[in-house]
Amino acid sequence: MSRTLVYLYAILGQPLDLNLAGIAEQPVRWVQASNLAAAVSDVPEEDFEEEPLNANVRNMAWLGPRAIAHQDVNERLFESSDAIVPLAFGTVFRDDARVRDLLTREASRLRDQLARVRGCAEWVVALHQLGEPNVQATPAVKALKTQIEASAPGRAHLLRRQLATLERDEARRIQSEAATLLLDALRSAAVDVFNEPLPADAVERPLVRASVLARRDAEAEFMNQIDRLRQQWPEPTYRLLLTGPWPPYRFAGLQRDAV
Amino acid sequence: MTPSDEELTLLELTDRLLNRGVVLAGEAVISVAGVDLIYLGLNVVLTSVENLRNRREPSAIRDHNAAAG
Repeated sequence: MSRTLVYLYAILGQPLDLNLAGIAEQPVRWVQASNLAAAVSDVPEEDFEEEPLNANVRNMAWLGPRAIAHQDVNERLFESSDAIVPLAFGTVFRDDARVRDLLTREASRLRDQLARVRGCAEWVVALHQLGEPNVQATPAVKALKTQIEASAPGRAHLLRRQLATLERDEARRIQSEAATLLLDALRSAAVDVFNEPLPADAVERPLVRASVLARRDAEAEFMNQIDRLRQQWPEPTYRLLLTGPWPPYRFAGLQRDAV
Repeated sequence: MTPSDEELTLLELTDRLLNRGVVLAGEAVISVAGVDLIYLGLNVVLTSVENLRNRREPSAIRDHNAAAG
């Protein structure tokens, strides 16, 4: 490799005795200071200088394999330790000395972040609505239908028009309540929940999307809760998507007071 | 249209790594500009996922969505 920069994957409380290959198959090594250990590897300057890097990340053919390599390293570190602070893709330093500077200067904050996610994994839960929710069982719709059956033909005709409006309103209400109900249910089974902002122009926009921090030793309970939620919002009207366990990319970055 | 699980996993991966990953201010001399791949939409992923088919998927990000169809 010609000239190189130092690529940072994650920060841990101590180095791990693992033989890992990072981006471009370069060996992962440790830079240590202030009782913290940074997992790094060397990357070519021609790809990872600021300008080429910011162009490269928009090219999925370039980004894909490197993102997978970044995640592979962090996944092994995550599985082999009780706490890691996984960095965003593309955190690059000129040399090891600057990594040590960072560890020294941010030691206190980094230790807080490690403590925050210790023993926990991150999950992503998204609820999509694929069809119209069933409103026939709601009390308001049932009541109006009973009223229609008991009414004379003329009045029943008027009430049937009201019924169409009511059904539409009920569908909207169910949809807007789903986000709140799902977040509450997740909170009951998790250490922390972060409601992710939804972009307005996404191709497929979920009703709600959340990052969830859950104890790794209570994964079975968490999965049971997900099963219950899938029953509460069943297919084919809804689809509840779950990915994980992730290293805590989201939660290790959150400041305590921002949650 | 629902993306396939493979595409979802790749999208989720890049979303986690680029948008949610811990960002260190100051000492990192080079950092990726605020690219929000969710905003870029799935089109980029759909066209480029072909390039990754022969590569290994992240192994422990288990597919919990297969049972859901």
